[in-house]
Amino acid sequence: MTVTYTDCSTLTITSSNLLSTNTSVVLSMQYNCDQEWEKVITPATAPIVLTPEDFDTEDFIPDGIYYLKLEIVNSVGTEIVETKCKFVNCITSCKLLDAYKNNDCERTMAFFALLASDDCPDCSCADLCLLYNIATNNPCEDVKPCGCK
Amino acid sequence: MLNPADVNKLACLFIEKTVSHFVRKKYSVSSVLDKRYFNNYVMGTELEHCLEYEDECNLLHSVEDVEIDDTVVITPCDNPFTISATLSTSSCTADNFYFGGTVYPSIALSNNSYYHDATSPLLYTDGCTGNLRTAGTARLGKVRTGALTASAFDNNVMLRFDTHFDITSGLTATAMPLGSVHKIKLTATDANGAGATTTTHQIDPSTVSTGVWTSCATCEAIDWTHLLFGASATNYVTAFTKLLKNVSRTLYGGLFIEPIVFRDPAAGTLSVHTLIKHNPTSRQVGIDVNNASITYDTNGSLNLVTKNFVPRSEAVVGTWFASCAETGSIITICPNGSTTSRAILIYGNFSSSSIPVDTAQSNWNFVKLTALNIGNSSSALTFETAVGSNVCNTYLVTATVSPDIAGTTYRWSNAGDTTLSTSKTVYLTTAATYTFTATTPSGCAQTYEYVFTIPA
Repeated sequence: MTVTYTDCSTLTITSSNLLSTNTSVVLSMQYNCDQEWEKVITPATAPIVLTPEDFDTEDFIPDGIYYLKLEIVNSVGTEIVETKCKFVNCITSCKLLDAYKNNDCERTMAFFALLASDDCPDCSCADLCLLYNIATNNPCEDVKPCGCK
Repeated sequence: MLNPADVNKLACLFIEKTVSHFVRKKYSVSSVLDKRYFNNYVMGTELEHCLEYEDECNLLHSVEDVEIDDTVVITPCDNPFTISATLSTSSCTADNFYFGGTVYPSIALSNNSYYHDATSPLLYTDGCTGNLRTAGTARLGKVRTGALTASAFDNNVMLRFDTHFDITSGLTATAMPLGSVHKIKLTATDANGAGATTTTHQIDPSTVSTGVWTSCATCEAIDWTHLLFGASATNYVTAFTKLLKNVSRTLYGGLFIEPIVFRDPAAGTLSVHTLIKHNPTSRQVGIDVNNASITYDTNGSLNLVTKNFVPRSEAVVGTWFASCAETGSIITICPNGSTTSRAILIYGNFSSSSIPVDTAQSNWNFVKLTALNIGNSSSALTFETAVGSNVCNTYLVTATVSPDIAGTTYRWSNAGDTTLSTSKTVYLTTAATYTFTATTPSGCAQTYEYVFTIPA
């Protein structure tokens, strides 16, 4: 499964297992390791495209960690399960501006790790959620500059 | 340049060490960000175009022990199997025709033969296997009129399968014991069987008693008193039959008609039915039901009444020169007289409900044939003897499950999820998409969609 994020407004899921002959396709999702969501997809060869409407928002898909699980039953009844943990980054980069200014090394490091997650196919969502929380929620008074450990 | 898998390893290693720092504080911020893992990841991605061979070797060495599980999770059935389906078509063969409960393979209508004088119920069975088949048609036989000759003869009924005709009613022995038939209208062809003309002949008892119709060489003697309405039915029928034959012998020099006469004195009915050859090569004499009348004397005092023939209701179909009509399994043959050559298919509708394949004769279909105005064909009028050519087919779809595990259950269903069959085979009649489901004893269910179209 490949997940691409475009223009803050489109989450596109592709897989070589998305075939018109499938008998069932169910996409389930967990947001920031908390909120759960499920969508039954009509079997199709086309990629699954999620838009802000799918998340009850208007302008963009909220930033965060999305755990996506695709459960497919193919034409011969075999069940195929594909998972992916995706860091959606529309405004988080800007939110990290203060971390750079304050030389907040931990937040910066966590953010760069999140950016690297696109290249890590088996990263656990729990790890990415931890990094996301650190990157976005560290209070200013707890700044830990690089090299000061 | 690093391959994508190695880049993945660099990324995962960087993330793993970063998370470890936050979870277990194992790595210092500086060791992650400045010294190794972050740098390695950045070099392997953003700076990959700058790498020397030695740099790549160092990066690869740093991740040689890293393993990434990026395989798709597949949960297969306990016993995976495949399903396919094939269609086989069976053609039906109408294998028998029955008439009155007796095998009656065909109705032979040929030159110099007489036609059957009554409605002929035809029963047939067919050779289709299974109880389901498509609704279609089966050809039972055909009548070929050949080259019709345009003449007045075409307008005469020369062939009909029907009951006899009531001439009139009220001719009771009680009401008019001295009454009698006075005139009857007969139709005769020329010596070649064509050019029919209709002539009214006086046939009252006085003409018999004076020897008008009994004096030819082949004429039979007739007791004229038997032609009175007061005579017994048996005597009347015998005498009247002889009279009609004598008229033919006297007028045309031979016996050309084979009249059938019925009389019911109590009901006062008299019926005359003449059997007329089709495509005759010699003179024919009979009753043209469209141009027939009888004049009778009610009391022997020339109190004459003229009435037309009144065909029984089931005998005449008013579709002269019209398109053929079909009502249910009753088929009327009604060729257009202006057509010089025409083959007529006699067929019955097939459906799964109308043709049960069993031995109960009462359930078999029948075809009631009424042929009107066939005309003067130049060739023999025959039903095909090779009856049974038909377009009735059964369509059997057989699913193949491989491997076919013992204990697997099967189900064919339609779009409405109605079960059509619980075996691997199903008879289909309607073009649609059907679903076959096989479920193994372990509960692994697999489905297969079959799009059925009726073969051309």
